Amino acid sequence: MGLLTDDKSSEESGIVKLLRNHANKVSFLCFTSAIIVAAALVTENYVDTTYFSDNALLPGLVNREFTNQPYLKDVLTRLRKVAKSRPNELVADWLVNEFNSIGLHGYEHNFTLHYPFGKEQVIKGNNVYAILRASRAQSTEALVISSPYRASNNVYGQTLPGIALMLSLAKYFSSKNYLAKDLIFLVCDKEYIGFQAWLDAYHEVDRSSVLDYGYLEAKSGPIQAAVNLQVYEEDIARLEVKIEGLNGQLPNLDLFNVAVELATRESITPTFHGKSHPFSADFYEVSKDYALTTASMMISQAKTIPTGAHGLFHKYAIQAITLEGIGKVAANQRKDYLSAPLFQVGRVIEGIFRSLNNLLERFNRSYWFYLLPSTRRYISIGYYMIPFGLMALPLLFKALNIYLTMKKVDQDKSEQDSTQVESLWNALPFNFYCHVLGFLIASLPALIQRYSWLYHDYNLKFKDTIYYTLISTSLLLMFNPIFRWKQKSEEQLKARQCVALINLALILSCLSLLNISLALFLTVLIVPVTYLCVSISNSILRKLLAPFILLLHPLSIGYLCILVVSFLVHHETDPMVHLARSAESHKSYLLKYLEDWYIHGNWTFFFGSALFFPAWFQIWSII
Amino acid sequence: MTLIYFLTFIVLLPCVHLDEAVKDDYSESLLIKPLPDGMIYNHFQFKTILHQDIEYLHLENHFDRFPLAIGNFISKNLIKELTFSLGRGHWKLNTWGYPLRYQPNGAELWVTLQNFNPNPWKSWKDITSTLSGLFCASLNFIDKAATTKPKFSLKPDGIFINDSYRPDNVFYASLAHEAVCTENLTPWKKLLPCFSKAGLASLLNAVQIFNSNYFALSLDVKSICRNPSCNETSTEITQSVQVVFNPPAMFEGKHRWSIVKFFGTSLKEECKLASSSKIYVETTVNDTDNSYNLSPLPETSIESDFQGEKRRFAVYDVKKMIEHNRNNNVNKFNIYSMYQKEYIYKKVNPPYITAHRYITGYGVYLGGITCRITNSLTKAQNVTYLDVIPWYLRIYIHTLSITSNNVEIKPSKLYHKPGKDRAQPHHIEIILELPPLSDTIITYDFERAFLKWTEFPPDANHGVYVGAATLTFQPTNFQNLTIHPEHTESLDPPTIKIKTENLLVSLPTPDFSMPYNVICLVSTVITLAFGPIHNLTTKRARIAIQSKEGSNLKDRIFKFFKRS
Repeated sequence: MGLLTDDKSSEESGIVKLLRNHANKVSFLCFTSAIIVAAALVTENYVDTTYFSDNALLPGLVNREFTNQPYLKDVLTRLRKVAKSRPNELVADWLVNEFNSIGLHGYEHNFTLHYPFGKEQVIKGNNVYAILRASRAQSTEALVISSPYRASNNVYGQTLPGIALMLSLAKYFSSKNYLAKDLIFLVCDKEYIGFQAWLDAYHEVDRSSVLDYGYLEAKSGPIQAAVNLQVYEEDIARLEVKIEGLNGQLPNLDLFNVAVELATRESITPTFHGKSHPFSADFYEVSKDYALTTASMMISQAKTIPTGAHGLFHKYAIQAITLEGIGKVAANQRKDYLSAPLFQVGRVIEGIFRSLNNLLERFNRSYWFYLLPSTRRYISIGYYMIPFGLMALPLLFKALNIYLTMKKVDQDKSEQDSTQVESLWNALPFNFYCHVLGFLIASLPALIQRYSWLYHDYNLKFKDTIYYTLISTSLLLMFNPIFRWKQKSEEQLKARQCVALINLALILSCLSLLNISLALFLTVLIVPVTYLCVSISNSILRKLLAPFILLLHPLSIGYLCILVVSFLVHHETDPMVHLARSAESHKSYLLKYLEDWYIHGNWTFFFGSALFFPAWFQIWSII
Repeated sequence: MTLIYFLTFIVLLPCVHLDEAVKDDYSESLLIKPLPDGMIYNHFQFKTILHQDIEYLHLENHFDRFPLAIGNFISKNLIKELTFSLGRGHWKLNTWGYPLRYQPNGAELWVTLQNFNPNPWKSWKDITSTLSGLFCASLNFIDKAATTKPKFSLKPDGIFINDSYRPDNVFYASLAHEAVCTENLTPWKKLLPCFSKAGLASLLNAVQIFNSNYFALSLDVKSICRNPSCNETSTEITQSVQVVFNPPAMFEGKHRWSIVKFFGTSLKEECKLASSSKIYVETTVNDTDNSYNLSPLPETSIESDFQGEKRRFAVYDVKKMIEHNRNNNVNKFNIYSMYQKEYIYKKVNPPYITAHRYITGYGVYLGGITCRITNSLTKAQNVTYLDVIPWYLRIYIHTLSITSNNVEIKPSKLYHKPGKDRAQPHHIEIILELPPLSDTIITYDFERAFLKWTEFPPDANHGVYVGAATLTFQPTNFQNLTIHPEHTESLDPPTIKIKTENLLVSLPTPDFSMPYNVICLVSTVITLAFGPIHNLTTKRARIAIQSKEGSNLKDRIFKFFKRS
């Protein structure tokens, strides 16, 4: 009965006693055990072997029949030729003609991007797509094969082999009559913008002033899955499978498993973050590999920037991965990969799509939340939430501890002066104001753009303006006497501390369900400092923590990350150069996040300014 | 009184029999038409005509060629007109043009009852049950929540003497998820006088025809004029099968076709009960780039003129051909076609009026349905749009907007019957005029309802289907029309019915793999929470007054019982 409210005992129960007297010890125990559990999770003993949750996928059960067609070579040669002759545009009419000659109908899709920041800037582009209608069913479901169009040999490499492979697969599939889902072949212009425009147009989302997505002449049903191809060369050394999407969203693990399984069957090494599955008897070697791959995945997930165009599909509940065919030249430093001709990649893709074609339901039962230590192992949400929970618990323990040590209103009313008593409710308005300020900061980019003449007059770029505005706003808030905590009483401080801790714990635990990597990194950074800050009762000692808290400002975290990467990549350069260079790239990153917010719906800037900054600011205000 | 009736009956009985020698007639035909994208459209048509008014079918006690099962079924349920179809795949309107009969994926049933039917809803229920038994289809799933009575869209096909047509007697339902397969085809074939033993029906080999790009079978019952003055009617049953084959998928990538390759068998025997048995191959476009040779050479070639639209057909009389082959000691008949040069895919011009419907938005809360109707004619065109949406998509009718080239247009008629949960679908009918050279967009939003857990379909969960919308219009241009050479003499302009795509909508679906866990967990939590919450809300909290230590035995025992 009395599990939730134990009103019987007037004396304190064991847990309350423990929290009141030993909160610090318990919290320390939690935090250290979190680290131990996290370390244990990436060892061979605790990671799980991947498996197919949906049996209908039947990967590899069918004989893959795609062979080295003369058409593949021919179309690649012609595509290279036409791309060379028209270097700065997507050869839309050529692609449409090519699709038409296969017997499909090619369509062009025009879109316009009104660049949201700085001076009025309009970017126009056109995608090309074709739909192969399924013979076994009406057009109710669709699968997408896509590729970005990169003709020139820039840093990202050209994707023409992938597009030629796509055309060749289109020709192959159009002479088969086993398809039960429509196949959409999509070539996108202007990288992610093209994909975003096409997806927006396909779903006809509400029109925004930033991206005018035009309209699609032909459509199919709801898209179930998508594979984005980025094949750079004709001979492939390894197939990199990319999964992390926008905001750290992941595709269904089954799709990843199908790709890995089929690539292995076609003797192409599937890799994840550059690593294939380690086959070694050495426990530590394997565990180290797992730990590094997991860390690499977590970093890329925490960045919330998609690792490929597949990342934009996830928002629309479309499971998508990118298959990156990395050529011999790029992978030459590692001799342990055999190279495979282009058509073999085609067989992998044929297999994937025939598997997806078998799928009777939507991907629903299997895993959406996972971390991958290798291509064949995974850590499910059931495991990785344990270290996160153990890390976030100290915040709640401390909050409870503070609450329990506060003087109670009712009991002490008769004895104490009523001004001495502080209720938690009185600390809530401050919390509310902080978040209102956070929302105002989140709307700063829009405000600045609205009054853009202000900075145009001073010949400032938007990038610099927003960067310095954010810094100065933060400083203004941080050192504003209105928001400084006026040392009224111990009890008031405790109330604020308690609310700040609960607020932080709430925000972090919500984040953990959306993007575990970001949540885990933030928790690791912020929990120890916050804990120390609220535990030290001496106000002068507390002030000594200020620089550490300053380093945890959302902007400083970003800057420090860039700085660390910069140091790691070029160790020999002068530290001052690093500092300056990092500041510059910090600005660019900020702008990139803002662009992503406006065009794709990335919520990192919003999270940082409207949620994380207020939580941080409350901690700052109580030191 | 009874005696008078009896006497009248006795007197009239010979008249009925002597009136005219009651006869029925059966004819069959196959139209083969190469479609603009290289696929081959095969339309089988088996027609049985009974020279008797459909209202007096119950007087008939002997059927010759006319199927007995259907005869009894019609007279029992007092049916005036019936259209039933089962289809698989989508007719690709933009490339294939208008077919002879447009059938959506799944089952579709449209019935007009006779005027003096005493209990239409009961008849409707009986009709769906009987048909589901006759054709092994799940038509018994058609209930009130799936039935509509269209106001303007469905005009009768047959003859109604003395304007006896009443829209009130029309029932319409479609089941978008119904699959068509062998078990539907076999009973359908049994309605034919020669079954599938002889004649064109022997080509309907399930293994082959379900391996196609589009397949549809149908059964239509209607009244036709018995004589030119049209004062009497006959009952006509048309059974048709439409199959579209993709030759490259069957001929190792080659664009050629033959009857044997398509249907897995050649014609071995003619149906002797058929008054005519013909194969028509359309050769209208044979003089363009992709010209083909037919072998054996057709017996005759006819040119038909349909309201000014000219078509050419090669005609094979199956009876004669088989007879001829038999005389040469060859016991089979086959037609094959080869392209003279390599087949070249060409750009296909879509028909002048097309309609495509799709879902907009994503997620499982809100969504929209949009229908884009294109009119590429230089003159306005009147169309009727019928959309039946299941109740579990709750339509916001205030969001209905009809725009043409971004200009709002007013429909000349708009009928909307709101849906009721589990009882009635949403029914929207719009009559509007499409401006010349326009893209008209009809769009409205909906919200997805929560289904009860027993209401989810038992099959794999990938969403629920919404049946096709129907667009009806009278064409003024017959370019993309498929024309059957036997139907060219009719004077009325035909009515074209376009069906849009079926829609697949995902509803908020619980994870059915672990309902047990969920139920257990939820029950536990509720049980645990109920007690304390009940206590908190019904009792007043007060600071307990600590009594002085009651340490004697009596107090302690008293306290013990008080606590528990």
